[in-house]
Amino acid sequence: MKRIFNPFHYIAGTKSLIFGLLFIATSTLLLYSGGYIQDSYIHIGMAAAPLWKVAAMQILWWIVPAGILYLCGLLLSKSKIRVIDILGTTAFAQLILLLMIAPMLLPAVQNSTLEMVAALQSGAIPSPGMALMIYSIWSFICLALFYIWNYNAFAVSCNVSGWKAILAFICVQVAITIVCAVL
Amino acid sequence: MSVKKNFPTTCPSCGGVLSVKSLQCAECQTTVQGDFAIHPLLRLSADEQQFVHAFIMCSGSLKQMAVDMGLSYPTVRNILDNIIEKLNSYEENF
Repeated sequence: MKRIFNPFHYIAGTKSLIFGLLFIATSTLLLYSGGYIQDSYIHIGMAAAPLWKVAAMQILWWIVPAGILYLCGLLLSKSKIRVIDILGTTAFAQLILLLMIAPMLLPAVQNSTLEMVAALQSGAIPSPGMALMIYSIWSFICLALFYIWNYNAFAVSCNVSGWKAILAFICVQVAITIVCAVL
Repeated sequence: MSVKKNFPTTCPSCGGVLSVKSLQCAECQTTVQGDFAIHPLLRLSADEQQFVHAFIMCSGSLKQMAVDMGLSYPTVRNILDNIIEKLNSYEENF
């Protein structure tokens, strides 16, 4: 169970960075092939963007939050922090986004999404199909796990714990949202 | 059946730090009495003492320890940092 909620007790540094970059590359290809783009930290929208732009956005939404977490760690931690650990662990946490993105390419989910968009554009009251409802629950679970993994990435890489760490993580999430809105 | 006894370092009554009053030779039973302070390393928990032992046996290589323990480098580094912090607080009163 601990491995599911906090894999960073067991993997960090260069190894997690390599895996993380593979997850980011796979997510990029999946998003591109499905005509999606990650247009914010945790939001994926439909857009026919070139591959380089999809990749750039994927890297941006990983590296900017990682940088903010690193700066926060420098301020809070009494330990020596390595950039490779914060980059590696946060990159590895992108696996959860990959798990969230992959089902979006299922025909049932795609059709359901298109029907919803069409209904919204025509002004009708949209009724999400079963596939979209199941996917919504799945994406909610993934989102919760994404935040848990990112918190644990921060806690393990920067050796912070307790209320101080939770409060700092919430502040960092607010800062990330503001920075992402500006970008 | 031999029972593994843990070395007590804190008073079960008030939680204060214990000191050694007497020591005895296992060979001739000669007893030495006095008031000997417990070294800060002995006040660490059994797991922490085992960690310090493993750290020395690895020649201080945290990377090697991480491999041996099956943990990530920052996790091992964090355990060490927490022990350092504990030892610093103990040494203030040593």
